[in-house]
Amino acid sequence: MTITVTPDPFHLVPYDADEIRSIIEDCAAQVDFPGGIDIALRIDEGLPHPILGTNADVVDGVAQLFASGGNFEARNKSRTFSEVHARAEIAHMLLRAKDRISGGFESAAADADLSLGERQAWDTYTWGRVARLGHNVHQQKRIYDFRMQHGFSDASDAAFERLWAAQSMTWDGIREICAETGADDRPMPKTPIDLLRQGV
Amino acid sequence: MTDSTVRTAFAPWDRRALPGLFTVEETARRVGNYRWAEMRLFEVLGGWVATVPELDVKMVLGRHCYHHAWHAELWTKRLPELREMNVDRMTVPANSAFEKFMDAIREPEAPGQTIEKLVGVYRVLIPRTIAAYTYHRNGTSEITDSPTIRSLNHALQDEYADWTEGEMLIQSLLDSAEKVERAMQRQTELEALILEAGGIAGPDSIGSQPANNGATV
Amino acid sequence: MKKHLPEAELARDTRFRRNKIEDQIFDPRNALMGTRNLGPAAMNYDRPAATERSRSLMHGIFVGEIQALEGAGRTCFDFDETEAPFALKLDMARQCWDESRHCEISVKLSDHMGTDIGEYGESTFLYAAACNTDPVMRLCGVNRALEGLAIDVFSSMKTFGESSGDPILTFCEDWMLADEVTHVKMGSDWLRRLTADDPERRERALDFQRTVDKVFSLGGFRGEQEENPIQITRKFRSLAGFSVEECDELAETAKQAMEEARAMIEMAQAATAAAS
Repeated sequence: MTITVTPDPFHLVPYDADEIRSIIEDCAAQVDFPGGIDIALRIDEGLPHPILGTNADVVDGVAQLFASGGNFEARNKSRTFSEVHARAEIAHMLLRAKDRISGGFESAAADADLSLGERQAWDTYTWGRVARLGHNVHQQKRIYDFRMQHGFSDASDAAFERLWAAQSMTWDGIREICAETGADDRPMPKTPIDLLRQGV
Repeated sequence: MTDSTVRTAFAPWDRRALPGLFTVEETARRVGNYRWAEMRLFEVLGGWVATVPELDVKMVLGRHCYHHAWHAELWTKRLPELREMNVDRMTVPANSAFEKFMDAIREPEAPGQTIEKLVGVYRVLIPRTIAAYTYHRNGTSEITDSPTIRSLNHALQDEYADWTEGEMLIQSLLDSAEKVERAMQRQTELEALILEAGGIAGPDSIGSQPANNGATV
Repeated sequence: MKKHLPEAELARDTRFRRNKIEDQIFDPRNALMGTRNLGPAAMNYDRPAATERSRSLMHGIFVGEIQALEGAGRTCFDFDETEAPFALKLDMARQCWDESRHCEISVKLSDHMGTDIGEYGESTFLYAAACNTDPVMRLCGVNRALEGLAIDVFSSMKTFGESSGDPILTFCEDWMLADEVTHVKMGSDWLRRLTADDPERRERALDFQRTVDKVFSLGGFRGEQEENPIQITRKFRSLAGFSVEECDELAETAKQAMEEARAMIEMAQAATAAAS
């Protein structure tokens, strides 16, 4: 398995590509990431907190991961690397990439083509697993994120609980939940869902 | 045939009495003292907000600051009704000892002195204020001075609630023998000063017991 | 206790961390941000990172409420009655209670949104505006400029709550907005009363307000165009004593601030290109 992190070196933030590579190795082992799949993480170091966003696609046998620099940044100290956040975010991206390879999400659309509701439901299922792996995940944040796309309702909260606690889930399961909560009825956003990844 | 519209002026259950302990002049003096004390109190509560690091204390001080400013406003409105058109003339401390006491209450500034700040207000000043207001309410004429009674009741309602809240904050902060000692020391120092002043309206803040001449029957 | 507590002495518990202004100004990412397409400016559920942006803004509002509480409290203490009449201090004490309530609301809202107290850094520039030693300047800087900004921010947050279907956010912002209109009105009324016989002092105070307004237009943060995330709210400002001309002037100030920010970004980009 080859792991690449770009940029290397970083110019705008004092992040260390070697340290991030090492975290990816740890997290890959922790989530039992398939050995034959290379991992390429691109970090947009020009994006600060709170402009957060990640993507995880698998293209030609390579897990193509993307993260805003803000995702790895300490929330209360500008331009400072936060290992805690980095570990949780990397575990999250790797689990989603793994889902695409062998986790029941083989038929899911690429990140650019997901609806916000689909992406949020998938994220919730993933954050639940990341939390159970022992990473620092703020559940109330994830509830708020989920409600934002699936509605502030009891039905939405029940769906969140199911996704969060799920030991396994499939793309079809995600689709069902989006239909249940009404997220499917929302119009697609005018801007691309992976706008941050598209860069300048 | 009886005329049912002819009734006593006071209903049978209305037992309010005319006599009271205070003249108009004495009432104005006391109200002026109250106003001075409430003003110095609301000012310092507002000033302390920025100096206390404890978030819950900060928010409570902000709330109580207005309560005391509003009490001062009640007294501002009452003074002209007591023939004192110059409100500021009557807005004075009861005596120089009380002024010294209030200076001591307002002295702590450092962020580590929350206990000293709260003890001064909630264990010394507010109990004394409640005592003076209660004495005044119970002693004044229930008929001629009912506007003062109404304001005293409004103020007392706040004072009781704020006293309870302040005392609970203090209790929650006293988590070691050393802090208990600090609180006691602070209270003792201030009690000595208020003893000299006699209370927020001076030596007669809560009346005085008649001298015991030892005579027996 | 001394009069006029400096910004550096604001008391906080260990959860809070203060942002350094130089860290923000000299962040090399600033120059690039102006060139980025980050989606629609208005806060909306389909905007990238909508929730984290709203959490971050909400925390900023929370610490702003703490500082507004502290500023109003200091106005009660810092001035004697020859400088600030009792009625003004009574208004400031009332504002203390309101800001204290806003802190409580903000903590509850932050819980709802999934934010911990002190999770994000605190900038203390709001309190800095409350450090002026002239009560009229302080009122103009705080009650008219900053509380005016609060009207714009709360109005935008309320719209965000409505569009995202968040009933709690909508409810809270609606109530806080009502209080802010009252605070701005206090500022407008006292400015008129305290400077009735001193037009020069009034002009100095209004100049100070313009300066604060410009700072808080923050290079496009606030304005009347689509690219401004926080919209100037003329309706509520008029309730609070702002004239149409004053709203026009504020809009112009915001526009200038945005143009200046653009020019600075272009200069920074040119400098970066020249260096590489």
